[in-house]
Amino acid sequence: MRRSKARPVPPAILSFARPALFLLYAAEAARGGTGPAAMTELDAPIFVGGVPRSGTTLVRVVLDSHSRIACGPELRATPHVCELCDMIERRIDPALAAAYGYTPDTVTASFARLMASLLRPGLQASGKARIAEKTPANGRWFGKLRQLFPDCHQVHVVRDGRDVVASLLGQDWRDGRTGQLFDYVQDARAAARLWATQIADARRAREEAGADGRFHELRYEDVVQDPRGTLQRLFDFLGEPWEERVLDFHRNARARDGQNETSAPQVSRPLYRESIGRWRSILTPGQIDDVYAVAGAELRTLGYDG
Amino acid sequence: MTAERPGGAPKHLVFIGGAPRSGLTLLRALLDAHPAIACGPDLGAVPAIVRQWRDIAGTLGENLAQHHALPEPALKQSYARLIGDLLEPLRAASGKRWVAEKTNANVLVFDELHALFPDAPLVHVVRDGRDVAASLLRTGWPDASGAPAAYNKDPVYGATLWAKMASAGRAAGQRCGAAYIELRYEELVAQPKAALAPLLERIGERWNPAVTGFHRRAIPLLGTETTSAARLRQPLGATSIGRWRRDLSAAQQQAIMAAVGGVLNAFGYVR
Repeated sequence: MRRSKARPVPPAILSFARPALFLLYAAEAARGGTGPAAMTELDAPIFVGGVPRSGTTLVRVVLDSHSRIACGPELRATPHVCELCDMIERRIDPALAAAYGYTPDTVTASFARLMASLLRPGLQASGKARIAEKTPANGRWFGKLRQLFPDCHQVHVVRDGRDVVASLLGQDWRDGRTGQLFDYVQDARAAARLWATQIADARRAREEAGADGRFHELRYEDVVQDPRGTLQRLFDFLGEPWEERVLDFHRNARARDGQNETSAPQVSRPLYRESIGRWRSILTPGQIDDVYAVAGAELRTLGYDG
Repeated sequence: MTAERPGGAPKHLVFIGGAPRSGLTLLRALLDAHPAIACGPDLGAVPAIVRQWRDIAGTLGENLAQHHALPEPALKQSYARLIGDLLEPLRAASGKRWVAEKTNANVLVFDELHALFPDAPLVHVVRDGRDVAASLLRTGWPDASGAPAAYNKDPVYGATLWAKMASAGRAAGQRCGAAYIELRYEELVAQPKAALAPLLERIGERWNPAVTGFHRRAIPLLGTETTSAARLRQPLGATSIGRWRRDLSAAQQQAIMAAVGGVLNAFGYVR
């Protein structure tokens, strides 16, 4: 897994992108197939991200339990599309863009169209009104996702970094190409770095989203300890009416669907509190020192220093 | 937006690739002078895009089909359309029917291009590897780190690069059927009408004498294309063919033969 810094989004780009994206979707709708979802824009997609083991799967199953929101298992393509968009934007300098007749939003709009085309079929198949996409690594690309979908809602799932590290260590996650275990499932410093870097990236994204909102941070511990209040705030943020059924998320049949979702078994059971503070019994003193050395500042800022 | 038939890949695209210093920029200038074809500077994006499609189709394809209603053809169409979207503004601005995208590394992804654009001609520009090596020696081009690339000092590096790319292109070409068109630099400069005939016939266009007037047009040359600027201000001439004999020492020539003689032979450049 590579760490990337989210780049600041110059406000000017958003005003270019909005009308271009509307035209994109209008053309798409005019050309597209049958059914209500195909005829509308991809209405304010929801992107969920967070460091792995922070409760992102839990959140996605909650969202999918709502009658208006479809949130299937991780698409996993989203961060790759964002990264490719970023790479190509950097490579196409103004002279090349001019030679190809690009406007300032051509590349962004093209990638937004790609991303929308990956999300729309799932939405149509669900028959629901809105699509939500959860892939943990979305948390490293909130800035780019904001560029691609200026009206999207972004949900960052946060959990105590110490518990995240404790949960990461010992996962049997391997690099698909080399077969080697990732460093962050073997080494507390690497795991802490993963957590701290993304927390910082997400803070930037939150600042860029500004007071207008559309960026919501959700604490795993709050979901567990006060599900009703926390989830009401979540759906309020999303502009969706509260539904009692979301509290029964573990009965959602799609909870078990995730090919890659380590937590699929857990989210098929009701919430349990034993997961909070597990780090105390899992991490060695040396590992705890490492975690504080790498992520101490972020832990304190978020109040995870008890 | 992109010209496409419903459910199909974007149309009227040609992809050009080949080892550096093989005449791709010259081909660009020639084609762009044709009233029906637009060919811009290296976009550089296509190989990365098709590789992502290939990787995602390979590792996530089953998951996408099962859980996200994205079967393989839909995924292909999404990525093909991305490339179409990046080339459409040039088509619109030029008012021409065909867009040819020229980037050296396209030759390394002919299989992927053929999968995404089954109807698109894939043009492999091939030149004598010894002339490629001799030409690379003088470019002064940097490598990814910014230092002068190895082929600036030792022509065996250039020859090896050539051999890898040319072999990969031809091997892929054998899998791409009629879409693959091999175009020789040596024929292009000596007999452009004959050299371009297979491509023009394939896309249903006719020869146009405007093509040989390419050197009178002002086209933006970007990045490594600027190395060819002087060459492109002159009409076609065969002066660069066989430059390796004067540019390379006997020792260099021998080293190159030892390294890539087999590939030179495969392409008919040595007996």
